Amino acid sequence: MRYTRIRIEQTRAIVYYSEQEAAEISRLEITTIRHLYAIQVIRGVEVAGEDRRYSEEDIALLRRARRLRDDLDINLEGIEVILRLSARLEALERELDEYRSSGNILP
Amino acid sequence: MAEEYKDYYSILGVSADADAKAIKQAYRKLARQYHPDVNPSDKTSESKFKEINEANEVLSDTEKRKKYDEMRAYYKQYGRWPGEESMAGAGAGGSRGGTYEYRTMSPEDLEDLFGENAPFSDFFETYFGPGASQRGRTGRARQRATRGEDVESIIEVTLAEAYQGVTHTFELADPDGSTRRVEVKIPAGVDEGSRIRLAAQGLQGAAGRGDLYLRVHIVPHANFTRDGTTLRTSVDVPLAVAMLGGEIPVTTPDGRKLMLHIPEGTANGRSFRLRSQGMPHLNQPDKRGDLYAEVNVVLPAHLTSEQKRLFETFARSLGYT
Repeated sequence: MRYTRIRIEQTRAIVYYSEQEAAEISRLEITTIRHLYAIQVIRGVEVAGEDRRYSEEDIALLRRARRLRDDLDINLEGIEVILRLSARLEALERELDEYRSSGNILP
Repeated sequence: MAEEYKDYYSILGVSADADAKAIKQAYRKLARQYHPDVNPSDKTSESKFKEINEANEVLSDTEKRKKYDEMRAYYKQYGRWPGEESMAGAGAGGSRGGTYEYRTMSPEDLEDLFGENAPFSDFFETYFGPGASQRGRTGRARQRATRGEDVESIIEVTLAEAYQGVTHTFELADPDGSTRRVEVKIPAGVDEGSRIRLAAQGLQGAAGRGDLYLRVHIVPHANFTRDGTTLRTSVDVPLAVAMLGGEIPVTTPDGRKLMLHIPEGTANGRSFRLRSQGMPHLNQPDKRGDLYAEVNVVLPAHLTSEQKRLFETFARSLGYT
C-alpha cells in the first residue's frame, strides 16, 4: 500500500470566503458576484460537496469592481471590460518579465 | 502628538452646510479626477485621492459627520482638538475610535490601491478608525487564529480516477514530525483546481485544527482530452470500415468498451457523440457530459501487387485513370 505524504505547514495563509462573506467584505450584492463569476471575471473555488467559495484574489477583484461602480459610475458591462483588459495586461506583463529575465533582448 | 488639522469640507470643496447629495456629487467629481484606477502610479493624484476618500468617509456618514462637526466647532473656538492635551504623551490614542462602518473605501480597498503605506491620516485614525476595519481579511484571520490556520496542498489525480471517483490514503505530517493517516474520498468529476476540504486536518491552534484543502491537479491522459465535462478521444477506423460501415470499439477512461456504429462513407476527422459518457459533474455524479470520438481513418499499408491491382481497378471505376 502506497501513501501520499502531505506536510501540514503554513506556506501561504489561505482563507476561502463563502458567497455571503464575499458580499459583506466587498460590499457587492450576491447577484453581482454570481454574474461576475458566470462571465469568468472572478474564478471562484470549487469545493467538492460544498458551496462555491472565493479566494483573496477574487475578493480583491470584487472590491475593485465595486470601486469602479461606486466611485467612477461605471456600469457592469464597463467593469467587465476593464477587469478583463487588466487581467490580460497583467498576464502579458508577467510574460514579458519572464522573457526578459531569461536573458532575452527585445527586438 | 497633535494631529494635523483636516478640513474635510474644503478638501471636497463644499460648504459646511452642504447636504448629503452635494457631498456625494463633489466626491464623485473629484474621485473621477484623482482615482488611482484612472491615474495609476501618479504620486500627486495618490495623496490627493487619499484625502478626498478620507473626507468622504467622514462626511458621507451621518454619525461621523456629526462628530466631526462638533470637533470642528471646538477646534475653531479653542484652536485644538477636544482631549488633545490629555492625549499628549499619555499614549491613550485610539480609544475614541468607535465602531463605524466604512462607507466608501475600507482599509482593504486602500491597501489594494496603495499597498500598506498608511492609507488614512493620523487624524482620521485617532478619531474615526479603526472600528469596522476588523472585518474582512484581518477579522477572519484573527477569528481563525485561535483555531489553527487553513492550509492547502496539491494532490495529483488521474483522469481515470476523476472519471469514477476514488479513495486515497494520505499520510499527513505535522510540523512537529508526527504523522497520521487519513482516507479521503476523491469524488467523481473533480477538475483542475477543485478543492477537497478535510475539516480539522490543518494546522493545530489553541482551539483546534484549521482545515486542510487538497487542491486537485489532473494528470493529463494520453488518449483523452477534457474540457469541463466534455471528453474527446480519437478512434482508429480501418479504411474499409470507413467506406462500407461497421462497428468500432471505443474504450472509456474506466476501461469499458462501447461499440460505435460507423455509417457507410464516414470521412476522416468526423466526430461522433457518445451521449453522457463524458466526465461527471462534480457534486452531481449522476449527470455526465458527452464523449466525442473523432475518426482517424487508417489506410492499409504494404499492399501486395494483387491488392494494388484491385485498388487500381477500383480507382478506374471511379473515373480516375
